[in-house]
Amino acid sequence: MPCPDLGTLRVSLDDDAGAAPPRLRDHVQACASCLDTVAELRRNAELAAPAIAMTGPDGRLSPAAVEAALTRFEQRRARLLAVRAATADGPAARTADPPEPVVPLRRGGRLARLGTRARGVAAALVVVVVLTTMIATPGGRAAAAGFLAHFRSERFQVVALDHSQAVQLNAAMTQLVQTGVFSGDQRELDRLVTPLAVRDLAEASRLAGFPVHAVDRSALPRGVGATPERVLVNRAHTARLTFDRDQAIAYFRRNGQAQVTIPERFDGAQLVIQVPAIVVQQYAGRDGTPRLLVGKAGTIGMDAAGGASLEELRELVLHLPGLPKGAVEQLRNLSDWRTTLPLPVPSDQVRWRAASVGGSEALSFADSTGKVHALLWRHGGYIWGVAGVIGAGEALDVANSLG
Amino acid sequence: MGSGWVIAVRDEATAAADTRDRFEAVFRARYGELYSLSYRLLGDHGEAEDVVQETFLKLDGQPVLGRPVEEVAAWLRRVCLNATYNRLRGRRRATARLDRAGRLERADEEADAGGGPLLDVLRAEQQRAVRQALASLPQRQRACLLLRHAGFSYAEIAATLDLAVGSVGVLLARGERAFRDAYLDRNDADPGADDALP
Repeated sequence: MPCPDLGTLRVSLDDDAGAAPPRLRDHVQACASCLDTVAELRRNAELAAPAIAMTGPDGRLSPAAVEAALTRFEQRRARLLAVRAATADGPAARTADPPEPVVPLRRGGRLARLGTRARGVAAALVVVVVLTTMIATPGGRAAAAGFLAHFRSERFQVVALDHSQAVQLNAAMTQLVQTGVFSGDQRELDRLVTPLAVRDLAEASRLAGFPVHAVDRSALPRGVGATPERVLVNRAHTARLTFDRDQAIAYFRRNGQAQVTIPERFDGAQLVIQVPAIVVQQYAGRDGTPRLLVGKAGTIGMDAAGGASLEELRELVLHLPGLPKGAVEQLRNLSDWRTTLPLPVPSDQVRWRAASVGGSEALSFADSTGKVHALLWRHGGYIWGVAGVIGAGEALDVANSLG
Repeated sequence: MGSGWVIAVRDEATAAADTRDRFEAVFRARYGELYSLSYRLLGDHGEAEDVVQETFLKLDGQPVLGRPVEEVAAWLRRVCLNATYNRLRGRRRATARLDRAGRLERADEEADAGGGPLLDVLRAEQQRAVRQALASLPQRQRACLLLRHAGFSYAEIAATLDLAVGSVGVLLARGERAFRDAYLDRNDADPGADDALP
């Protein structure tokens, strides 16, 4: 047998003792030149192996670390998609408002300006005023079109979104608005995001069209001021979102779904959202930071006008590419989509359970720190919410004192 | 009005969801090994993660995602290594710029700055020497060496580097010899000589 080449000799070092072909082993044992080469190869490998091993990270990545990396990846991808969509849609689209998260717990928006400690309150407040929060953002307006396009709010159901799903949802919704699939009168939509700060509860009652009372002192948590330091009102009104068939088809195509056909009669169909009046009272703690928020709103309604029914528009929206699969499944599984208000809730930051307020079914929420609690329930034709840096029992006391 | 359009949309949506599921499965299965590969060369958690994220961004929407898993894995390793090399080149350019400006700090200050135990400092110094030796190797030898000593099989290395399996042994043998020379040369040299201010 002639001397094997360098590669063959190197491979033989990695084989188990019995794995190298016997002829090769026999040759190497009998060939001084090959023995020298193998010895050198072994020395080189024995130097390289531990040296390179030393450069590795400490230990294997845990599954949780990989999941976290996947979440960061999805966020990065969503940002890229949004930028690409904005770049592809011309100057008009690029002048649109910057996208905001559908569930803006971490950044952006009026709520985030309340200060560090108050951000927890803001997080809980999102649950209370989730509708205005959703409709307040460019993405949220389209989200409203999709997720709220099917109900007259008689009960609530949580749609659990982890952070990456919320980001994904926002990116998809932002695209829908930026590409003109859904559009609306800017002034009408702006009204949703501009609550009025009013002088007192009497004025709030007058503007809202329903009575609003301060929380009974005996029910307030310790350390919370007796009167609301701020009262905000959103007046009831109607907002319309118009569907553009051509833009929708283009949207499907851009997202790799070229075969989609949408009936022509859908073009120009409108989602008509009856936005209820909303009043939010804000109570401060001893240090002046917001500690308690109490909200009251009318019933939300939605209907369709034009060539598509509410059900058809709902189907269409649920088929839009880019929506988080888990969220779509939850929406499909709503027991009665015409009367159930889906509440998008960040499952990685907020826990929830069923509760009862004065005999009415309620949802109880707590943030991941356990310091922020909130309650949401429906009673007497109104939606009620309590949230704050308070205990679960304190939230329940406040809730039971209302209405 | 039939419901055909809905079904068409649903079929497309299902296919898209399948692709997404597959992507996520690949991410979960491969992220760790790619991170480890990139980290070995870069020695920086943030940069390694960034490189791996870039790698998966490139995979997103690529037809290769539909190929057998071994092919996808080889593709990912190849892209990840190239991205890592690019990052190293960028780093060298930045270092050279700083060097020219006379503002280069001694690299070992990084280890000293932590004030950690002496062993940590020594280990960091050794890791730096290994990375410098690896960086001096031709690109394919470096990749082969790294992959082999990170635990990849000859077949996996061949698929990553687009080589015949039979060629991996030669490349590895040459790479190990070159590494030995570079590493021992550096260790014999005055420690920190490379980092001396101009």
